[in-house]
Amino acid sequence: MPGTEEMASYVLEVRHRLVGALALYCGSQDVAEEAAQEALSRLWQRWDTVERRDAWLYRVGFNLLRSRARRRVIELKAHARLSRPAGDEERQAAFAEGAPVRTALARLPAREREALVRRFFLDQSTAGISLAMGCAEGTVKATIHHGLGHLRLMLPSRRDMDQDGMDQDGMEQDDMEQDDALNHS
Amino acid sequence: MPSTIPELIRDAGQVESRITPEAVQRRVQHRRRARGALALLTVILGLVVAAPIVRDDDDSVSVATGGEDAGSFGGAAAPPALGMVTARAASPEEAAGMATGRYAYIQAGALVIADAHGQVASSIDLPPPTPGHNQRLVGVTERALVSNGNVALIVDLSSGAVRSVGPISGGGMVLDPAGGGFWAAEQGFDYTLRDWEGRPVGEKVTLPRVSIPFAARDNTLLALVMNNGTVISADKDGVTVVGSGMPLAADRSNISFQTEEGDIKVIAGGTVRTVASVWSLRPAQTIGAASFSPDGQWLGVVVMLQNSGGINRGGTTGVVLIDLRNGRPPLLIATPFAHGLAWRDDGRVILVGEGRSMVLDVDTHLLLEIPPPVGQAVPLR
Repeated sequence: MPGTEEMASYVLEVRHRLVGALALYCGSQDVAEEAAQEALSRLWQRWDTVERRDAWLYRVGFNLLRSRARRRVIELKAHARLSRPAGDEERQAAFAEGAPVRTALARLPAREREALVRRFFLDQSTAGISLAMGCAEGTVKATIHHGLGHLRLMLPSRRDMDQDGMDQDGMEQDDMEQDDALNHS
Repeated sequence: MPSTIPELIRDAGQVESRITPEAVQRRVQHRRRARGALALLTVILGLVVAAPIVRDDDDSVSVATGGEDAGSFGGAAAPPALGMVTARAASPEEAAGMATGRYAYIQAGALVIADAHGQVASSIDLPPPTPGHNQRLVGVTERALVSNGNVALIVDLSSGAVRSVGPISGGGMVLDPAGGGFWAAEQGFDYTLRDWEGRPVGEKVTLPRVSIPFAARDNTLLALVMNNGTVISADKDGVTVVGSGMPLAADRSNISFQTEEGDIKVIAGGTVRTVASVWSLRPAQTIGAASFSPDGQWLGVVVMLQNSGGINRGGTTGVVLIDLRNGRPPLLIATPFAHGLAWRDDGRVILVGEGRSMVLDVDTHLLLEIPPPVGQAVPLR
């Protein structure tokens, strides 16, 4: 198949990051792996026609997990993998370290969760997130702001502010003041 | 040691994936094999189901086959094109409720015009498809517009002349429902209204990236933004978000779309309102496109009933008719075979599927069979 090598190297390049983002979103690495593999296979079939592959891939991955029916199929497939490869316990243990954060994330509304994962794990800009999530940039900032607020309540020992003048929303203070002004107007 | 929540999120997402390119490739191959087997099974089932009601002169049978090309196919003489049984796509003409006395479809490299009884009135040969592309019937007014790779084929129905116009970026085009021409992609996501000679006659409209235009009205393009499911309205001055979900149908004054939650919404005069919830009616999902009645009063859509299995597993379908003007509760009428619908001029509904076609009277709910069946079709005015 033409382009197979290119596609294969793309899979190797994005797999950890894709699974990581989806695992943060759904809380299960097994389910995330299944969704990621499904999204990658769909991209593979459309390799020549999809322009912004990364954006398309993450969109499909999140969509697979968002739909209740599709997610149920993904979960069934993931749980059907009964035999775990050697060394899997180590991997599970490493994954368990982030459990409190993922548990807290799982309690957030889906859009807040997606916005936080895109912003802080995938390092996407608020403009990019607004395009991907289909809402205004101000809405993205507010969603991230609310999401962080909720996380702070669930993970209360964290500092509220970084040292470099950015708050935890990843937004500059001026932006937040403008948002606040808009919210109060 | 992470100290801020963003750092905690970054750390919590650090995982090692075991996905391999070989596994992804295997899944792609498995899916292709499964689709091939399903398509073959569908054709066999189609032949079995359709055989008892084939009564055409040339012994042809007809099923609604999926994909972009669909329609009737010859019995023993002409092998059918493989394709899954799916709902047919809505056309702007169908959505606008134009007369359904004649139909057009692409079959075996020709544009076929048939009457409401399935009798072929004329067949116009088309140039060969561009390699790697399917020819797709975009819409029909007094001319038929066919997408053929990066060019548009304009078929004059009265003379049978076929003109090739292009190049058109990505093959994206939408018929102007007023019949004055068609919208075509100029470059990337820039669209311009062109006349039937292919000359630009309006100002450029720029859609967001990864958008698929599905309807046009009054120098405005309506499109679905693929990466977030937003339905937008775009003109030369910019883009307005009018809703989210999948487009169902559009005519010159109304647009309908379905949200992920299953609500069917209609946009008229810039106002969005929910006219029905598919979930509340207990069907599991809509099948394909809805369409507006010729007078704009009704919106009809075929639905798969809940817990009845998939459409390829003999599941039960029904037609939901939504009264847009009087706000009465939507009607759900069981139509076990229907995969698609179109409106006739007299306000009745034509239902097609599984090699059959029937007429539904909206007032009395009577179903009358009209042999022989028609396949996927686009009504002409």
